[in-house]
Amino acid sequence: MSTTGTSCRRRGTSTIMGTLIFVGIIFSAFIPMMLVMRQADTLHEMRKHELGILDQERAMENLCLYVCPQGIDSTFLDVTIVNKGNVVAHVIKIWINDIDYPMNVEIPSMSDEELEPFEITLVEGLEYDIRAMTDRGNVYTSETGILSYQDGKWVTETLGFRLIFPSRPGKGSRTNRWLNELRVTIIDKDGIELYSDYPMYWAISASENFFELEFAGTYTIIIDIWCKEGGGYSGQHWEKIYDDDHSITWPIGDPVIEIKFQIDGDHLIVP
Amino acid sequence: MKEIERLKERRAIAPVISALILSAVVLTVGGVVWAYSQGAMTISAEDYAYSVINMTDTISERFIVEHVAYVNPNLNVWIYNYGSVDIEVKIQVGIITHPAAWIEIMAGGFAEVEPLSYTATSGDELSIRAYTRRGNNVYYRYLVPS
Repeated sequence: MSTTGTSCRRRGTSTIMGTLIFVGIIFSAFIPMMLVMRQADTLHEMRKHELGILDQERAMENLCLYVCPQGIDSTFLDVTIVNKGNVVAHVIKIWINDIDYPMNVEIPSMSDEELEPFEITLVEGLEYDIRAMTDRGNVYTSETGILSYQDGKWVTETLGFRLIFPSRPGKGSRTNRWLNELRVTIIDKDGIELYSDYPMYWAISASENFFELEFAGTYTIIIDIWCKEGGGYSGQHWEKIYDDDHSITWPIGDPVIEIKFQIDGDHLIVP
Repeated sequence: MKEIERLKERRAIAPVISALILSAVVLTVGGVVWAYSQGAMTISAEDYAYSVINMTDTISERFIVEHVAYVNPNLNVWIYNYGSVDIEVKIQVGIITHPAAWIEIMAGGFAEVEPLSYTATSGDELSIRAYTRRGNNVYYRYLVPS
């Protein structure tokens, strides 16, 4: 009886102690291990999420790089960067051929930045490849292509205005005194007449003519038409039917601007 | 009578001693198991965390070949690390691996790989592979200019 009682007490003690040790191991070793592992997994998931955002922003970045020499034989290049993406872009480097120029330019979304002109050494027959790199690892090439310097001048786009006139109204439907002769005058911002009273024939069908210009900029276009007598004039005479400014914004805009006129009473308008 | 009492006293001591011994054994074995478990689990947790950090660093690597230039007979390669972890990188052109030692590039840093002496003619198209010690690759195609 006494032996049985002692045996029971012993088993109870060992069970309790074993349980305590087991619980101790669970709390002091297993649970911390699980917590460390879970924490590592959480950090990993967080990092993956951050990388996903970074990659997404990188894909959303969209810059357009426009490079244009300041003059036909200038050693300076104007570089304009337009941010057409939805995220702020940070340009950190400009490459001109194999020379890099460190930059630190932030360009907000849907805005543009004109960089300081880059002075380069002109080499006859050499091509100039200009690229911009962002901190997100995107590299953008010039929208205007690789520039080339040949025969002592830059090979660039042809710039100019293409004036497109609608069909000239026939006699029956004509409500004004217009005849079929036009003259076009194009004046630059300094007041110099680049085309002075340039004659054009306005056909019954639509007429058009291209006026080549050397540089981008704002120009005043004046159009006169040969008219029959009337309106205070005793004989045939010229009347001004259009006078307005137009701009060529190349390299950001098109090098050739098409101006399509419409007849509005005694004048031409550009809708 | 005295002898019987003496024997009874002896019997009373034996269960106490055996209980003590048993407890000591249980505590010792339990302690050893406890210490072993704690050590093993600590090592397991550290290994796991270390492998997860390594994996995170591997997937965090971001780099590009930002520029390549060939001036006969040297091929120059520039690499930009735009990721958030430092990388160690080499390049491979054809079957040539270059340079012998890994190039370390800090996060957000650039590196110009020391020029590789390479024979190429105008119009050749080179496939340049930049790879890191962690096993990530970036490929770049380069047309040798005239």
